[in-house]
Amino acid sequence: MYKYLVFSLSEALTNLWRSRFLNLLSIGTIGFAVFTLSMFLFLGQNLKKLSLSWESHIQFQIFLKNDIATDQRLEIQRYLDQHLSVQQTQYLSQEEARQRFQLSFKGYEGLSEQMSYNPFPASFSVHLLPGTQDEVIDTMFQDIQSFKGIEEVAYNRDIYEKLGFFANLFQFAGWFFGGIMIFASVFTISNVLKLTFFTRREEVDIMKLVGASHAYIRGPFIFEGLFQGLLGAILGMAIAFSGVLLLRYYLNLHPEIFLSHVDLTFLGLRWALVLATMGCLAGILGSVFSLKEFLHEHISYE
Amino acid sequence: MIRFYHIFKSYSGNTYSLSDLSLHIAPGEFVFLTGASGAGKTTLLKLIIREEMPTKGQILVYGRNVSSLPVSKIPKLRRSIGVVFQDFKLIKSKTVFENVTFVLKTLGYEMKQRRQKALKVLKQVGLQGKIHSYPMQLSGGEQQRVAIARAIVNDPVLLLADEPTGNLDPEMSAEIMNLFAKINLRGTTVLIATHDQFLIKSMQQRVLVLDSGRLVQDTTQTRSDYV
Repeated sequence: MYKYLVFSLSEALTNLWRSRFLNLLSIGTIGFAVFTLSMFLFLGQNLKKLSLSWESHIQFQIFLKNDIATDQRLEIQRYLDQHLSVQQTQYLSQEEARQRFQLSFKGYEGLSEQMSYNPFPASFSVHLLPGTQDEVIDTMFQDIQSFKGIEEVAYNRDIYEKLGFFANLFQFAGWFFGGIMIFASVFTISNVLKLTFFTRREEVDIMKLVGASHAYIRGPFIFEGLFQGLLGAILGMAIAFSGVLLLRYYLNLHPEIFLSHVDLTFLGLRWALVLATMGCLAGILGSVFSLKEFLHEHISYE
Repeated sequence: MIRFYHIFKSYSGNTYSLSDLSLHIAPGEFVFLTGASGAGKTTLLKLIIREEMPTKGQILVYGRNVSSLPVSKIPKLRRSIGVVFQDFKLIKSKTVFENVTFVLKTLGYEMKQRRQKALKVLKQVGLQGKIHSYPMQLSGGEQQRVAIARAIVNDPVLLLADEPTGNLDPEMSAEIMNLFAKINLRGTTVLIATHDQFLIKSMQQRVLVLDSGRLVQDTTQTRSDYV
């Protein structure tokens, strides 16, 4: 077994180098497939992470009418304080809201001063406990809206849902397009190996004539496919990783962009291993397909 | 050693490359197989190494029924047979030494054994000074000697040669034949397919003559037969 492995590995590496330009085609194809899959998975994973992070900090605003009575406001405050799903409540008066605006929008401070009245409503900012169920939130909203003196309750649940949906969509698209491309790369590898078989048919004929076992004849080709797949996967992931590094750098320079506050992470070791394994399998499959045909046509013992 | 029992070989329909062929070659014999082109010489050799299957009949090689040998056992059969071709079939990208050791490598020999065996056999064929040369740097005769070295490096009990001197001049051909004779003297059975009557006459060995797939003559010749 050891001798077989040494023989197959050394022959495969020699042949990879000997037909390096042809093999680059296989490596490039599988690299492109893995790159596409990695990028979609990366986007999906990070959107999912963003969506989960937002969901774990469920927050909504209750805007109050300007003419709300103090006891009405206290009643709302009491309700929120007693609710089991509320983690924290923060009251913001009209004046505090105006000051926050002035702090947040430097250069436009005068705008609110020029108006004859304070346009900013008082509000409650409510943080719910992580994992609070939708039904609880719905009931809570109904309760809140029944209080007097409420202008509006703002809760953009749609955003969370859409984000989650897009995260799943990206991951699905990744598997779909990446899967198609990996499938296509199996055929590229298979065809490239057919060409290398053709250039090495004399060698294979000699192996056959001197009584080399089927395993010895097939081994180098199988390993060649495996190496092509592995190198392709590494190449694809390396390019994708470089792309992510560039994206991070760009987002650091442009903090105003939506995703700039997200800690973008590339696929972890587990995913890298999965993709590398997929590359290897695609390579092995490619060589098995071509070997099946080639052995049948050219080196059948029958 | 080799026994053919009523062998028929057909590639298509009723046209037979070999027809009702029976023969026996004893261990250690030196035999020529001759006949016109298309007489069935190459087919006969291919049947011995199970490159082809007979349409009808049985073939025994060292007691093994080649006709019914399972596919998985074919490599083992071939390890006991060396084959030499007219066109040498050398790997152009490998040196003389690598061409010979490649065989041993595919058969799982250790590096030390490969080296020892290859050097020994290359010395036997007189190529010890050219081990690092590539086939294209050698003459036809030298290339054929590499092919012979490769064929005998695994100590086969039987050596088959298909028109081994077909691409060589008479002087080189005689040299190659002497090499076969030396190999035969060490106990290896040698079966050579050739249409070179001059060589056959000069070697004074048993001759099997094929004509349209039939064995028409089987004789041990002496030089006097041809004088």
